Amino acid sequence: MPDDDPLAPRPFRKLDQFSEPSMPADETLHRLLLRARDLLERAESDGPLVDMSRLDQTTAERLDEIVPPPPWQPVLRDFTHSYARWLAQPEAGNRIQVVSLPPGGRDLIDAWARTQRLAVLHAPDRHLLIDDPGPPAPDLAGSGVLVVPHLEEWFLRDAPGLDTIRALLSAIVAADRPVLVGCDSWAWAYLTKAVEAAVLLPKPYTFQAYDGTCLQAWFAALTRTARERGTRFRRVENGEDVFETEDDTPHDFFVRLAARSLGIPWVAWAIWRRSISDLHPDGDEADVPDIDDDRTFWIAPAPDHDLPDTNRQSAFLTLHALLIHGGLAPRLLSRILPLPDTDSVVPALIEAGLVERIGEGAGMRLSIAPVAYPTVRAALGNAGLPRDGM
Amino acid sequence: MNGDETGQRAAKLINDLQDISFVKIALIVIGVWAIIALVRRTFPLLARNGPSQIRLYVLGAVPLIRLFLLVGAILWIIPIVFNITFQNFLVIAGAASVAIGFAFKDYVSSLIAGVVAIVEKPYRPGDWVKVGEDYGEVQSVGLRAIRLRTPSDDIVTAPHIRLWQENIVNSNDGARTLMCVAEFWVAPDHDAKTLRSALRDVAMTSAYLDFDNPVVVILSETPYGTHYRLKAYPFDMRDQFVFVSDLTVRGKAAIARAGARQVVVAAAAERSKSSPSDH
Repeated sequence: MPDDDPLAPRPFRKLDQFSEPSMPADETLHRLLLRARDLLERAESDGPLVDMSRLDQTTAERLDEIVPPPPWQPVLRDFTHSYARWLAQPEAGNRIQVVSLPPGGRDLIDAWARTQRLAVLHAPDRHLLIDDPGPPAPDLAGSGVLVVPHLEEWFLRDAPGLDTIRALLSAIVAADRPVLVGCDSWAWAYLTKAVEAAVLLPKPYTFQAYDGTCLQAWFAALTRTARERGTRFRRVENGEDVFETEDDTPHDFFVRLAARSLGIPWVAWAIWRRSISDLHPDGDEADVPDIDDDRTFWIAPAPDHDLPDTNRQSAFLTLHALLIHGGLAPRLLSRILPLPDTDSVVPALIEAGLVERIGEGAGMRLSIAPVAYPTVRAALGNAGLPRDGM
Repeated sequence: MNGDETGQRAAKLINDLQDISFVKIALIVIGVWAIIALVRRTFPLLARNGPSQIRLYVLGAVPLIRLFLLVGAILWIIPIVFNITFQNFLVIAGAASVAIGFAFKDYVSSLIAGVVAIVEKPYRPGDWVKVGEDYGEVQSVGLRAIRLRTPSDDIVTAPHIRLWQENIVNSNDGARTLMCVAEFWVAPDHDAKTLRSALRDVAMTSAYLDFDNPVVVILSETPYGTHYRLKAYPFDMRDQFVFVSDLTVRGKAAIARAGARQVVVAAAAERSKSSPSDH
């Protein structure tokens, strides 16, 4: 693959070298102005080409056809490329590898381990971590590379809930086989202080941030089939096709998307999907722009997410707990939070689109919605809570 | 003749009434008052709703802005009212000295201490300080006094003059967080190493913890039992009381899990009241 191919695999770098794309200054100003306008309750429209009230979000089934999952596909390619050499010949000096990913990419390391046919060590059920006695000591005996894909699932932020991860870290250090440890970036920031993970394990690596060029190339590849059949993706503001650029520079839309998604591809993927809208089939046809496409999807600005106005403190603590655990079952969330109103805060966070339910029944857990992750991260930082290192 | 006129002009302390622009003075006073009122209302609002990293800077700017505005207004008004010459300056300074010395000594001392406080910053708005027996968050730093909001939601007005007379204890000194201490007295017959580690985990697993700051457990043997002091920082100092409560509740559970036994010592409890972070 040529070096200037935006989708060429890129090596992982150290976590502290992650550099998120910057937001163009005019976008920052634009957002501030929008906020000020909302504050003053002046509903003057900027006059988009398409009446926003006539847009419906495209159905999940249709989205799966034009922007199929998994959202971490390009990072998996980077991952495979970065660890191919280590996998073939792990040396004594780098027997342990740590990969840290921002929230939302939890299945990536499992998928990599599956494709490489590697042994995987899964965490015990989380409720066992605070039982007395706790789960049995982790068994790392064997040969060949062992993958521990979710270090964040080996602890619970409760006084007895750190014993198991301490035992695991000791076992990893003592093991005589190569081990690749995956850990959520928020959990890593916590574990470096709580159990001194950074002293026991080497520095973590992560992917390089996805800028506008990479995102445009990736989404262009995902939508190639649809576009070859005459489908176009146009901005509601001016009707521009976001995949049509005159030179090698990416479309402004993707530059902004990269900045808004903090360079995290699965966050960008979620925002991109949220932006894709259909026009109502009925209504006044005079309002429909005269465009000669076989099919047009309209790219509307994905709405900003706001924290609930009440119980801010509880909301911050809940969001932070979900982030450092990589998602939690509601019962365990209530257990680790000191506040009595957790049960009423969670529905409000779900309603606000900040938190989503994953799975059903007893296995259901709450997690931060990828589309809202940038908002949550900024809000927690502004509230003074410790953040991840990305 | 000219020499007499100059002498008379120099001796005239206050300008002629018809030369004093009272409208201008009124406009200056109203303008400065309006700006100060605006700053006092908007800056705390900005501090409350803005990023916590800049909260203390925004709050700390209020007394500075007010001081600059007041000094500017006074310097602007004085030449309008007074006929400023070296001779008059001495007269005004002498009269002011007598008045201050007899009537307004404490008041002016507080004002001067207020200016010193703005420059030296022994306390800023948003800081948690202890002045005498009063501990609370500095709500505002006025020219004469500061206003503290205590944990009981009382407002205490403490004149700056106390700066000259007693120690001011500032728990955070402009930082975003402050050290909190949860104390436990445990009967000596227990495994101290295990309990120390368990208490550290209690702090490390608190939802309020700022884990970028250190967590320390200190213990000492006292006639009442083994005295544990669990020291840690909340991510927001406004959470200090719920943080200490959280540490205490879960610390008691950790002591019970470790098979140790807490002892209640009245004298020791009295001692703990002396530290601001124990409130």
